[in-house]
This record gives sequence, C-alpha cells and structure tokens, in this order.
Amino acid sequence: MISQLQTYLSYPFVRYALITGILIALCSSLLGVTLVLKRFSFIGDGLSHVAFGAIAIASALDIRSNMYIVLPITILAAVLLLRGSKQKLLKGDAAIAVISVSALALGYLILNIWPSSSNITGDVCTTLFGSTSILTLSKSEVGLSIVLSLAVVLLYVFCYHKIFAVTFDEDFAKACGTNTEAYDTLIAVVIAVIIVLAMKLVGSLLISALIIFPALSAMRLFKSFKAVTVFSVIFALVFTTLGLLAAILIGTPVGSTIVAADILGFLLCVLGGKIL
Amino acid sequence: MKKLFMILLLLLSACSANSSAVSSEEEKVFTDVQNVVTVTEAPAETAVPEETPLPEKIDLSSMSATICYSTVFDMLVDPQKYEGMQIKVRGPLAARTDAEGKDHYACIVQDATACCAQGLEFVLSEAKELPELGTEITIEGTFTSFTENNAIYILLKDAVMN
Amino acid sequence: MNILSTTDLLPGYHQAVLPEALSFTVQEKEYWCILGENGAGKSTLLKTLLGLQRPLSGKVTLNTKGIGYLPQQTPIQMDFPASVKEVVLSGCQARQKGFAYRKEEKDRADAAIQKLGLNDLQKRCFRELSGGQQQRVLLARALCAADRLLLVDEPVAGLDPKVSEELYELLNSLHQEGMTILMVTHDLNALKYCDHVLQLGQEIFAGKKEDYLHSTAGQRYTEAHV
Repeated sequence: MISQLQTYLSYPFVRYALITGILIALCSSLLGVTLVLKRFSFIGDGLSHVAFGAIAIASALDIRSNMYIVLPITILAAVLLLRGSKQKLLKGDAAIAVISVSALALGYLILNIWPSSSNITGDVCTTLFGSTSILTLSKSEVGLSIVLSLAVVLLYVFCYHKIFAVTFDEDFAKACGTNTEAYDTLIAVVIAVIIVLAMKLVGSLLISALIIFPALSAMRLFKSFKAVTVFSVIFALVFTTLGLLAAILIGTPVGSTIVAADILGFLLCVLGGKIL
Repeated sequence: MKKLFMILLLLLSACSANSSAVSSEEEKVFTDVQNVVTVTEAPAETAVPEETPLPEKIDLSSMSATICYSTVFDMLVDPQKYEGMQIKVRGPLAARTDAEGKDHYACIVQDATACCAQGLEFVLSEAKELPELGTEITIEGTFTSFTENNAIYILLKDAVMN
Repeated sequence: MNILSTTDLLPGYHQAVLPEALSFTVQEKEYWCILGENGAGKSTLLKTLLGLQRPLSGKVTLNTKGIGYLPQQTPIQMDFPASVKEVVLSGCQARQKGFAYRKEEKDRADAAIQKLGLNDLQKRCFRELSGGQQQRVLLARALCAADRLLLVDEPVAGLDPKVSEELYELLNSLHQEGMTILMVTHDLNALKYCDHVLQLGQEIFAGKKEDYLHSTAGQRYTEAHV
C-alpha cells in the first residue's frame, strides 16, 4: 500500500489535492469555531447552495475556472445574509432558506437548459458531493485556493483577539468601541471564500461537516477558546488527510470519505470527553 | 498565539517545499517523453542520450477508482504530459458511430460513485473480434492525442486487448 | 466633575420608551440606581448611553474614555468554551494595539482578577462557574475596560440573596475607591448602596436618593415593591 501511495504521490494533481485539501480544511475549522458558537452552523448550507447557483451560471457561460464568478456572488450573498439576519432574526432565517433553495433549484434548471457538457448529472453530482473535484483542479484554481487559504489563516491569526471578543459578547465589544460591524462583514466575506473553496473538497452538501465537526469535537475536550481553536485545526488536519488518503487508496468518493473520517473523529472526541 | 504562529510557519515551509518538488517532477517527466516521441515533433533541443529510457507505463487497472478517474481527467486536460506512455486500462467496452459512419471503441473509466465517466478510446493494432458491448476488457496501448475541429481527442493506439 | 450627561435624550428603537425626553447629569464618584417597571426603558437607556443604540433624538455627552459595562448574560455564553482569563482579558480590547495583548493589558487583567478574588479560577472554564462567580468574572472584564465609569445591568438577576449581597459589597468597594457607577436594577436592596436615583416610568425622577425616598414617585415605587 505504501508503494501504491508513493506511485500516486508522483502525480502532481494528487500532491495539489493534498496541499489544497489540507489548507481548505484548516480554514474551515478555524472559522468553524466562531460559526458554531454564534449559532450560524446553517450558513454553510445556505451559502453553498448560492455558490452552486453561481457555478451553474458560470457553466452555462462555458467558463471552466468558475471561481472568478462564484466568489463575488457568494461573498455578496454572505454579506447580505449575515448582516441582515442580525436585526430581525426570524426574517434572516427565512431569507436564507428562500435564497438557498431558489439558488439550488434555479441552478439545476440552468444546467439542464444550457448544458455545457454531456454529463449534467455527473457535473451536478460532483459539485454537490465532491467525489473527485479536488483531484481535478486547474492550475489557476490550485494557486488561487492556496493563496486564499493562507490569506484566511493569516487574517485569523492577526484578528484572533478581536474575533474572540466579537464572538463571546458582541454588545460588550461594541461598547468598548470595537467596530463589530466591520468584523461581522469580514467574517461574512471569509466564510464565503471558505465555502467556495470547500465545495471543491467535499461538495456543496457536505460543507457544513468541515465547519462543524472540528469545532464540536474540540469543545467536547477543551475549556479555553485558544485550546478549542488549536485542537480544531489539528483535528481538521488529521482527519482530512486520513479521509483524503483513504479515498485515494480505496477508491471511494473524496467528499463523503472525508466526512466519514470527521464523524469518526467526532465520536472519538465524544468518548474522550466522557472518559476524561 | 505563539502556538498558532508556529503551526503557520510549519505549514508555509511545508508548502514551499512541496511546490518546488512538483516543478522538478514535471520537468523530469517532460524530458523523458521528449526522448521517446518520434512523430512530427521538432528535434529536441536537449541532447538525446545514447540509451533512450523506456516510456513510463501507467497501469490504470490497478488504481483505485478515484485516482483512475482523476488521471484520465488529467490526460484530457494535459495530454502532452502523457504522450507516448504505455497505458493499461480495464473497464466495460463502449462504442459509438461517428458522423461518417465509422465505429469508435472505448474503455469506460468511472469515478467512485459511478456518476461520472470518461471513455478512453483505443485503436487495436490488429483487427480483432470484439466482445459484446459492456463486457469488462483490459486494454494496453500507447497514449496519443490529436486536435480535430478545435477539440482535443485522446486515444490509445497500437492497442492490445486481453 | 461632570462625567456623563444627557440632553433631551429620547431613547428608543421605533418608538420612544420614555414618556418625555430625559436630561440628567452624573458627577464623578456618584453611585446611581436606575429603577423602573419592566418595559420602562431601563436597558434601552443603558444601551443608548453606551452607544449601542441610536436615540430617537437628543444626545449623550461623556467625559471619560473607558466605560466598563457589565451586561446581562447572553445565551451564547452559557455554552462558550472560554477560560476566565480569556474572558477578563477581552475587557482590554479597546486598549489593544496590534494583534496581541501587551504586558500592560495582561497586567491590568491580572489586577482585576486579583481584585475580585478570581485567582484560583483563572484557568477554569467560564461556563462551569456558578452564577455569582460568572458575574464576578464579567465584572473583572468590565474593570479592564473602565477608567472611571461603570455601567451595570441587573447584576444580581437570578442570584441568591447571599451571593447578591457579596456582589453589592464588591460594587460598593469599587465605588469607595472612586468609581462612578450606574446600575439598572429591579432589586430594592440595591438602594442601600447608591446615593442617586433615576426612576423611569410614567413619572421620571432624577436626583439624590434622600429626595427620591421622600418624593411621591419614590414612595409609590418602594411601597409597590416591598
């Protein structure tokens, strides 16, 4: 098996998949802590459906590297949804549901009316479930993914204390003079970027897993925000690598295998939390 | 805070190490292929060594479905890289007839969920009786690609069927 | 010295929460209790004073930079994985320069922890503490942010009498050391400690405690809540 792995690793697209996949999982886990704590776990689903709609549009326009269209549209949606939802919570909830379902349905419709390939079902399946998308990235997509992921990580490190403050107690932060609206917008933009990237790894429908599982697992075991954040990252690194390697070696779809690995990790942490 | 920084530094150094490894691999493969291709290529700029190394062989039939599909996808995207390589592939037989009435045969490669499929076309070196459509066949042939009507086609030529 | 004053302030979101505009002044080192029925607008007023909410009209004038705020707890905090140290340190966010807290901020947090007797609880998880302990942590956080003014919202809500008493004593000692305090409260026990009262409702009173207790508004309120 090791020699088989070595053979696989000689292919550049496999190496790219590993690097990009790990970086994406890293970003998702970082922001995951904030999202889970702010009770925004559903945002992953909503935004990923918007991204799917954007991909459909890009596809109809026959653009292969669709990230340049999908990113701005998803970022716009994220800012509108996350900022709007604060004022009237119920309205925001319904707004996300409406936009998310419409994007998914219309996107699929567009793909069927203006198909750019002969295998629509396959394309949709790949976008929704990410069976091999991380292994079939174009060179520019790889470059963009790496740059964006690193930018997210750096941003998080620099804004770590403010992100903690805004997540723990937004009112208090605002009273201290922190520009909470700016941080909310920043978080919204970063989430959108992460979701568009993560769609390439695990597909639209499974993105929430990348965001939620590391954070939830860490919270079972650790008591400080710093420890939870660090462990989320380690969890994401370990189980994404495991899932990706398993999918490559055994021949299972990448997205679901990574999520299966995450579930395993989560169960281990739940067990660990009960024992310790 | 320090911990996060250390992790970040580790990642950055890992990434830069990887990307340099990638480019040197690609160069190596390219020079190997250049030495082998005979057709209408311009003579290679670099000196051809006395003993031409054997073309690389890729055994798709022994790979996992995930990698197999991705490799074939890569072949479509970057056919130059694979030119002249010996490819072995296993999968169900498929056929189609083109506008001129000529039959084309291909071996189907599916991804893990079997929702995406690629056909790898082949041309047998010797005319042979082909089994029923859908039968699992194993094909070994030399990879080549050509452009026709602005589309890139890939196929395995001088193929042998088992 | 005038530390906080409002001029024709009408707090509210879509409609006014007070029957008339409010103008009052808080001097340094005073201790105000803000009383009123539910819905009288106490929390809204506090949020307006802090700049969390825009008033419908009028303005708030502050003569101090750092305001400490002890808000009511949010549901998010019930579940939040944060150590006591991390929570208290977040009180220094206004002073933070660059992306890490410097020694000055860390020292300030340590001092607040010390002052409120939280030394042994520093590494404990916030959500595992008792109600009274959590309030002390949030008070320590407020102290990190505060220079001379502390705004407190229902500090003893949900706490038992003994713990409430301890918290009042802590606030009182802070007052003795020169802190100006504005406290929104339902609990008439708090009146023991303050020197000024702001009562909101159909009748508004803003002034010294002794005057309040002798006023009709004051007497009506205290009788109703004994």
